[in-house]
This record gives sequence, structure tokens and C-alpha cells, in this order.
Amino acid sequence: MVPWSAEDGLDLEGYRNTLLPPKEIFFPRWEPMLRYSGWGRNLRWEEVRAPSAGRPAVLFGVRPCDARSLTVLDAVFQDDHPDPYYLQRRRAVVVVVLACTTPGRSCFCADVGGGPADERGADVMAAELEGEIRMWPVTDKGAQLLAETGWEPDPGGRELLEQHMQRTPTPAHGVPAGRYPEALEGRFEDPVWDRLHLPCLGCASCTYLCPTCHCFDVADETSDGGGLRVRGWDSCMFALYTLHASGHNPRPSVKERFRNRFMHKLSYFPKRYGLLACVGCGRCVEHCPVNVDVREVMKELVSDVQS
Amino acid sequence: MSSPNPYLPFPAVIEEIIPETDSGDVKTFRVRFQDAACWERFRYLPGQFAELSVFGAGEAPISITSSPTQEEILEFAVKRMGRVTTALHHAEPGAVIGVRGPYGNTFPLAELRGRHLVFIGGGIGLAPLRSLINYVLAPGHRGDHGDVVIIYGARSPGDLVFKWELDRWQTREDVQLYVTVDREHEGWHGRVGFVPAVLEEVAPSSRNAVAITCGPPIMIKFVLQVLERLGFAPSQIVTTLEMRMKCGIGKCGRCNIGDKYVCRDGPVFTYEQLKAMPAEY
Repeated sequence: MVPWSAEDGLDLEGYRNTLLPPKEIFFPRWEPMLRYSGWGRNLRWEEVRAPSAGRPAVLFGVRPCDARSLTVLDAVFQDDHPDPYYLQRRRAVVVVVLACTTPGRSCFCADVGGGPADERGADVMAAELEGEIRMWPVTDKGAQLLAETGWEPDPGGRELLEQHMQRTPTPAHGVPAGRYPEALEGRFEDPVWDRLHLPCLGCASCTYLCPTCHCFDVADETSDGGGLRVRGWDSCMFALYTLHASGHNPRPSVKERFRNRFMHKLSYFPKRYGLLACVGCGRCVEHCPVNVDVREVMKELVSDVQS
Repeated sequence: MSSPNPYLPFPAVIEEIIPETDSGDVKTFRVRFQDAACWERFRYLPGQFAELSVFGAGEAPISITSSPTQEEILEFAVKRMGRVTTALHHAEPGAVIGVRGPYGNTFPLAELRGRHLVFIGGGIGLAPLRSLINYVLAPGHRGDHGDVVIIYGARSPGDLVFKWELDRWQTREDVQLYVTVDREHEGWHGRVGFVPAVLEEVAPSSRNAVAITCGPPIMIKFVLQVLERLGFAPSQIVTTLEMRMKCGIGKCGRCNIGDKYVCRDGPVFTYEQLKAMPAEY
């Protein structure tokens, strides 16, 4: 995702998806939350926002998998304790989703309940069809954007996209869909984890590239006379993530952390929020340095159940 | 737009710091909100915790050891363990700290009504139990429960916390208090023995009773065995867990045990619930 101006033109040739998911637009990798100053009796603090917070923007070309990931993040940040930092950005940004008329090699959105024309999470839906960008609104916010920019809503686009999709291969790899969290019931103690985790280096590339991963750390960064309380992306793949001050660690080795990552996405999160925390974007598959493949992990867990 | 920022702590002043242990590794902090209006937004019940901020060091989840039946003051018994708790131990009365909360569930107050209560604590584990003990001993509440048995132990007399409170409970006729230390100690004329052994000796009846326990994992392990021998069903045993936390409100991710977040679904769990959760705590 980069800033764009009209002079840049728009060339979508060969565009599959961005390296980083759009989550950092709403949940930056580093973000100030509070500012403090003074000491002892004279300590003061107040809420702060990054300069970019709440700045209106349009995200163009978000892929349907990533748009759906926003509904996963919304579930976390909108619940009983609404997160004002995330929600301020969410309100200010309009999401224009570009349907995938040619799926990428690691895509498996259709395996996890999505699809290349999925409109969930989109404000405006767009598709490049017959050499032309067609756009139609999905939400009121999207309709407003199109009205303000003088773009004629194009309801025919949706139908044309559906026709196109019937001729396009489905981004699926035979991962059994719709069986989570049930498929992982009772699998916590399964010996399969002893084997599956072995190649994992615990580098956390998967979690940083994941559009639904939302774990964060909070730290105070002090400089002269005051400082900032900031939050930054954290990862369940790191040992420090769960390390108690006492030295005890409930997830002491890669095995427990690896298991927790997959159980969280496929079982714990669906149980809590009714949503699978994997949207099938394939980033973790593409970029894992040791070829851990979430699709293979899912197949393994589910096929074991069937046998 | 008007919902408050859940990460913004209320300013509170440390009014008094009470050293609890001889080594000084546990201190009780009595704090009061700078703005009395904060009390309206900080209505808590026994079992809940707060996020305490020492700006510059960070924030840590600490159980509330005071009872909501007390006057408008909050008490936190803090063991010096990491960065935040060490910074807190360096604070002096008058210093301002941040308090967010209350967070987490509470002890199952409705289920405790009409029951005999057996409290089993070890070391700093008495802190969360004390909130409930003083709640049930409060004038309007004592009649809601049967016997109140408290078994509390620490490694040595110098490691016992809330000695001033133990003395107060000791004088009450409606409380059976057993205080023990692990080994003989010069000048100690009280009970000697591990908490689980004392529990076995006292042998409180499990009939219409609930056991509430908190302490080091090794103590909990043997306490559970003794309670089962005494006929306590897993649903009659209640404990409270600790986990590394940042946000306290179910977002930062790290305090999960299976699909449960200790910050939201806990910290109080029955042994029955724990048995259904992965042993990852």
C-alpha cells in the first residue's frame, strides 16, 4: 500500500496482492497511545494519536481476502471495550476492494469461506473486466465516496463479475472448509503437533504478514522529561510473548507456540467470535522461510479426524 | 465517539505503603483516585484485577486485595518480580500511579451464598483471597455464609503477608484461622507444616462447602489432591490464575488458555473449568 496521486496513473497489470496486508493502515506496527510527563507527585498523562490517525483516505485495490480480514479485526477491536485508535482509522478510511479475476498461486480463500469476488469488508467493490474498471457501492460509506467523486454506480458490474467468475479457476487447494472449529476439537494433545512444528524457526514472519494477526505489545518509551506509551505488533511465535516476570512460561517451546498459532486461527478464534481467523491470502505460505504451509497443516488435522 | 478510551488509566495517589514481608519483597499499596468521580467507573467485586501503571516502567495486572465493602480506597499487594513491580516498590507515598479496570470476572458470589467457605492460601496468593474474605466477613454479608475456614501458609514467618489482617481475623469467633509456616523457625510458636498437610489435618467437610485457593503452583497441585480426598467435587473448588497480560481487555492476545482469555473469562476459574482447558498455564 503506497500513497497514490492521479499523475501516477494506474497499471494493474500483474498485480496479485500487496506484500503487507492492509491491517497497518488501521493498526499501525508502531503507534503512540498516551503521552506522560513529570515525576512522582507531578506525573501527568494524556491520550495521544499519531498524526495519521483519523486522516481520511481511500484504500484502492484491497483484495477480497484482506477486506474480509478487516471483519476479523473489527470483531476484536469493536467488542465490549472498543479500541478508539483502531476505530478512528476504520471510520476515516473507505475500502475499495478489487475482485481477483486471476487468482494467485498460493491463494486459498475459497477453502476458508471466502472467494475472489467476496464483498465482505468492502465499502466499494471494483473489478477489472474487459479492460475496464467497474465499481459499485457495497456500504453507505462506499456510496458516498462514489457520489462525491462523480463515479456512476455500476450495478451491472456485479453481474458481469459473476459471469467472469464462472469461467475462472477457484482459489482452493482442497482444504476442507466449514469444519472449524469442530475439526480441531480435542486435537490439542494430538501427537501430530510433535511433528508439524519441527521445521518452524519461530521467526514470526507469518504473523507479521498475516492480515488477521492483531497481537500487540505495550511499552513506555521515555525520553527527556517524559515519554510515550506505545503499542507495537507482537507475535505469539516469540518466547517473550507469554513469559511471566517469575520466569515461568506457559508456552515454553516452539511446539506450544506453533500449536497455539494454528489452534487460535482455526479453533479458539472461531469459538469466540464465530469467524475463522484465516482468510486464505497465502502470505504465510509464500514467505515462510522453511515452507510451513497452513493448508497442509489444515489438511493434516482434518484428514486425521476423518480416518 | 463518547465511549472512554479503555487504555487511559485513572490517576491515583499512593497514600500508604505497608511492607508485608521481612525481606521487603511484598508491599501493600493503599491508593485513592485523584478524582473521586472515578469510583463511579471503578465498581469492582472480589476476584477482579486492575492494570497498574508506573509511567516509564509500564503497566502490570495486579489483583485487587481490598474489598469493595471497605471505604473508598484500593489496596494492591505487590510482589517485586519484574520491571513494573520493581518500579512500584521504589515509589513513595504521594506518588501518582495509573489505575485501569476493574477487569476480569469475579469470585462466584451467587454460588457462595449459603455455603461453608474454605480459603486456602500460600504466600502472596492470599492477596486475591483477602478481597473475598473481607467481603464475606463484612457486616451485611457474614450471614450469607456458613463456616469460614482460612488456612494460610508461607515459607517462613517473615514471608507471611497481611500479618495485621491475620491478627484481626484471629480475634473473630466466626472465623477458623490456621496459619502455618513450612519449617521450624526461631521465635515462631505457631503451626509448622506445608499448607496441604494442614488442610488434610483440619479436614474441613466438603458438604455444602466451596474451597477457594490461590498460591504457588506446587501448593495448588497438592491442595487439589487433598480436596479431592476430602470429597470436594471439581465444581466446588475455585482458584484464580495469573498470566502475562498487556491490555487486560482481550485484544493484545497473550493471556489465552485455549479459547479462554484469562483477562476476560478469568482470572477466576473452577477446577471443573480448568480440567476442560488445555494445561497451558
